[in-house]
Amino acid sequence: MYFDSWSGFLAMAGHGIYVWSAYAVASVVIAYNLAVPLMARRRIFAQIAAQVRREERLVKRGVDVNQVTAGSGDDTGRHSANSGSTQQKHCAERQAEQQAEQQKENLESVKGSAQ
Amino acid sequence: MNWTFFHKLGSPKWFYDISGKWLPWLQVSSLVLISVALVWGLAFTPPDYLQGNSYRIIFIHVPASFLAQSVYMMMATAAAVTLIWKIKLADMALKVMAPIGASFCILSLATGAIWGQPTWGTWWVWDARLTSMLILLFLYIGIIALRGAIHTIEAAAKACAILSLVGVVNIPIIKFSVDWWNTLHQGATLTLTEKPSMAPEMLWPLLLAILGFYLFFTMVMVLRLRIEIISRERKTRWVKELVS
Repeated sequence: MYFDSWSGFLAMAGHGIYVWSAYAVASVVIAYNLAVPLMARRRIFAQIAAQVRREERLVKRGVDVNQVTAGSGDDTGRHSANSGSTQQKHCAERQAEQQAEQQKENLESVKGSAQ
Repeated sequence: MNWTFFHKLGSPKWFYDISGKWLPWLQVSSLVLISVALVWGLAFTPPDYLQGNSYRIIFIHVPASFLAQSVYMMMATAAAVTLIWKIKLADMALKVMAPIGASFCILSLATGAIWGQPTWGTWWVWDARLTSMLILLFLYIGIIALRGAIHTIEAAAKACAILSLVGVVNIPIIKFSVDWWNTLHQGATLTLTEKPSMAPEMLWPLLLAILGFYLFFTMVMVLRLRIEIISRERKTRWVKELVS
């Protein structure tokens, strides 16, 4: 240990405020880099789990899930060659999703009126 | 030559599986190295004969500055891979590295300003080294903002890759700014070609800190990349099975 006492260590011969504030900024940056992935992980897992549960419900009600999840990712790890069609694909996907939602609502309203 | 490793590298699932095994090692080694280096640098090294105790900021300022520049170069490499081979994983890496690099760039600028006050008597000067480092921060922010502005994944990937590659011109400017211009910033502390100008009792904690910061970067980058993989591959069966 270079310093004789705790107070000497904290004061750093007058430079304490600079040294410690620099280390404080460093700990903030380190904490930020740890906190962001930990929080994002929880959020994404919850989102996907909810999506999976929704699809399972749709399957039970006889909705074609394959249509809903059209364009599921290929396993080659590459972007699709004709990126121009992606916009269209997204539109088709959204439409299919909306259709599925509609069907689900219809089913629910039918069930509600039957009771 | 056997190219299977290259195709494997492009597979998000393969990376997700293998990186899970790296994480515990990265966590332990970065934690140990950073704590040892910083305690050593703060409490056990002698003060600088010229700058006194303020020089202890070097143990975070230099690793943060190294990282800010290396992360940018890694992003440029990922950008080239994205443009040439259209590998999804490279674009994901480019995306997740940007905010980490920006945070270390901010740390470098902040600790530099804090160090400048007792050493130069000013927080900031429009000096070549400081200004080119500020431009690096703007490049990071530009890349993050550009991705936020484009909604199609493929178009965003292409635009961000091009911007990253163009911005690489700033990296040699940062590196050689202290030689090309007469700057207030001191010359390089560490060079690969010459004997270090630092005393060994100060040099060792600095080298450990640099290594620790790089390992920390790798760890948080892998953490973010795994989340990005899960998020983009959410419609594949393996992700659904992983989550439920």
